[in-house]
Amino acid sequence: MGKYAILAASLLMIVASFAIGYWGKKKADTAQAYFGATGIFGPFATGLSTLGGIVSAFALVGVNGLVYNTGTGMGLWMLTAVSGPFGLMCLAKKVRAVQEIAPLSSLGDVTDVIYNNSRIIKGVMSGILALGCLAYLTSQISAGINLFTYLLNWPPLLSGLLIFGILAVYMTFSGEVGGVMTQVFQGVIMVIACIALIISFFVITGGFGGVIEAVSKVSSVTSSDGSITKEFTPDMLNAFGTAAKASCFAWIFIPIVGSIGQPQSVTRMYAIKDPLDIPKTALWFGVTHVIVGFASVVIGYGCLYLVATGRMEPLAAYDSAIFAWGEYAGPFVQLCVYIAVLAASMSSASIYLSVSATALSRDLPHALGMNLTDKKQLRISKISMLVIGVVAVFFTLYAKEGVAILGTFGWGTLMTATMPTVMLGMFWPKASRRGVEIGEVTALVLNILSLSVIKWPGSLPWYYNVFAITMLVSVACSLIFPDAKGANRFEKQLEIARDL
Amino acid sequence: MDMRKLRGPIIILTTILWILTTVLGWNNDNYWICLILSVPIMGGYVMIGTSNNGVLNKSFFLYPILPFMIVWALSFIGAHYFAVKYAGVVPPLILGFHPSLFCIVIGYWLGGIYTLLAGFVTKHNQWMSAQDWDNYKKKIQKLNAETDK
Repeated sequence: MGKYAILAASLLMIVASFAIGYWGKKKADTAQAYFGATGIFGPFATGLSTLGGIVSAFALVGVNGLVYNTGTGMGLWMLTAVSGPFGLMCLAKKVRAVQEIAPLSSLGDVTDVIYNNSRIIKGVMSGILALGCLAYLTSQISAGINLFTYLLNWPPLLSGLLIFGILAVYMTFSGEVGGVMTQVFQGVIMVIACIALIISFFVITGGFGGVIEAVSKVSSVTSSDGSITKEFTPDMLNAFGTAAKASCFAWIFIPIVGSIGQPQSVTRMYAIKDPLDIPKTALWFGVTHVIVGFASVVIGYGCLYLVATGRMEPLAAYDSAIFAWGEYAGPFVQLCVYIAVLAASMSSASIYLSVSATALSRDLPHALGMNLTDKKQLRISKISMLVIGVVAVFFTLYAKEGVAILGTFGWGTLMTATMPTVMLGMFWPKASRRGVEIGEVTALVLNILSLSVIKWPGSLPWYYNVFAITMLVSVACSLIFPDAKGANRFEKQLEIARDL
Repeated sequence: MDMRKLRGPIIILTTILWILTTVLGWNNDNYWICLILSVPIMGGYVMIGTSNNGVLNKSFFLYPILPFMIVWALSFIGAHYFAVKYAGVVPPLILGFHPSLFCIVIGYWLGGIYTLLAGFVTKHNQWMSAQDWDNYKKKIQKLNAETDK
C-alpha cells in the first residue's frame, strides 16, 4: 500500500509541476521574463523559490547521513536559515537597483553593467557558473533516479527521463518564470513534509534528551550478521560532533556568506517585482528554511537514537539514513520522506538547468562576440534547455567518472564566480574591470587545478582556499589597475545604486 | 556612519580576514578563532549592504547588526568552551541539549536568524523606504536619459 501511495503522490507532483510550468508559459513572453523572470514575482514566490533552489537533494539525504556518521558537524550547514536574510539585506536592493539602470535577464547582464561589457568577466563567470550548475544538476538527477529505482525497482533511464525529462520540457516552455512557479509549489510541499518529519522525530525519540541519553549508554552496536559496527560517543551530540573542526567552521561560515554568491539567490534578487518587498522575502525564506533545515538535522539524530536503542540495524550506507527513518516511522512518514526528497531534487534541478542553459547558450556566446536578437536568443536557449536537460540524464547514468569529477564543484565554486564580480562590484567603487578579470581567471584556473593538481593543506574544504585567493587577487589587482575615470558609461548610475 | 568612506577599508580588512582564516584554518585547533574572525567579515558586509543613501543608520547598526554580531560571537565561544569542557563525557543537559549544542541552537541558529530577521522586517524603512526607492528611480531615469543622448 505504502509503495503505491508514494508512487501516486510522486506522479501527482510531477504532473502538477508540469501543469504549473506550462501555465507559466504565458508570462514568459519576453527575453527578460524567460531568462530572468525579471521584476515579476512577489515576496512569497521569491522567498519560497529561493528555498527550493537552495535546499537540494543533498541537504535532505546527504546531511542527515553525515549527522548519523559524525554527529552534529555537517548539520551546522543546515542551521543556516540566516543565510537568506543576510544575503537579501546585503545585496538584494543593489542588484534590483541595477535593473533600473539597464534591463537584466541574467547574471552576465549584471556584470555587463558593472564592468562595462567586459567579455572576460562575462565569459569566465558563465563558464564557472555552468560547471558548478551542471555539477549540481547531475547530483539532483542522480538523487531522483536513486529514489525511484530504490523504491520501485524501475530502470534508471525510465526514472530519469520521467522526472527530469518532464522537468526539461516545462523549463523549455517557460524558462525561469516556470522555474520560479514550480519551485514555489515544490518548496511548499517540502515544508509540509518536513513538519511531519520533525513531529515524527519528537514522537519517536522524545526529543534531544532521549537521543543523548541513548547515545551515551552504548559505545558501539553491531549488526545481527556482524558485518557493520556503529560506534557512539557523547561528543557526537556537542556542537561540532566528531567531524574535523576546521570543516565545521567552513560549514557554518560558507553557507551564510556564500548566499551572496549563489545564482539561486542572486537571480531571485532581480525577479522581485517591488524591491520594498525584500524584507518580506527574507521572512518567508528564513522561517521556511528553519523548518526544512531542522528536519534534515533531526533525522540524523533520530537514526542515531534508533540504532543506539537497538530498534534499527546500523546503516550500511550513511546516505540511506532518511529512507531508513521513513521505513521505521511508518507509511505516512515514509511518504513524506520521498515527497520531500523528490521536491528538493526537482526544485534545485530546475534552477541549475536554467542557469547553466542561460550561461552556455546566451552569456557565453555573447562574451565570445556573438550578438543575437532577442528572438534568436530565445529560440537557441529553448533548444539548449531541452538538450542540456535530457543529455544531463544520460550523462548522469552513463558517465559516472564525469559525474564524480563534476561532483567536486558546488557551492564554493559558484561563490568564486559571483561574489568577486557582483558583490565586490556593487559594494566597492574601486573594484576595477581589470582587477576582477584577473580575479575571475584565477578562480577558473584554481577551481580546475584543485580537481587533481593542487592538494590544499588542512581539512578546510578546498574551495575555501580558492575563494580567499580569488578575493585577494580581485581586490589587490583592482588597487593596482584602477579603471580610468569615465570608462564606464553607467559610472554615475552605479555610484547612486551602490549608495542606495 | 558614512559608508562611502568606510567601505574601502572594510573591503580590504575583510579580504585580509579571509586570508587569515584560511591560513589559520589549515590547523584544526584554530577553528574557534576562525569562527570569531568570521563575525567581523559578515558584519562588514552587512554594514556596507544595509547602508542607506551611503550612510549606515546608527539605530540600524545598534539593532539588529550589533546584537547579531554579539550573539554569534558569544554562541561560538560557548560552543567551543562546552565542547572542550565535556569532551568524551556525558554532560549535564540544557533543555535536553548538550550545552555546546545548546549555544549553537540558541545563539547561532535561532538567535542569529531572529535577531537579523526581526530587525530587518521591523526597521525596513531604515534599510530602504518607498521614498528612497522613488528618488533613486527618478535620478536613474534622468541619468539614463543623459547617457542615451
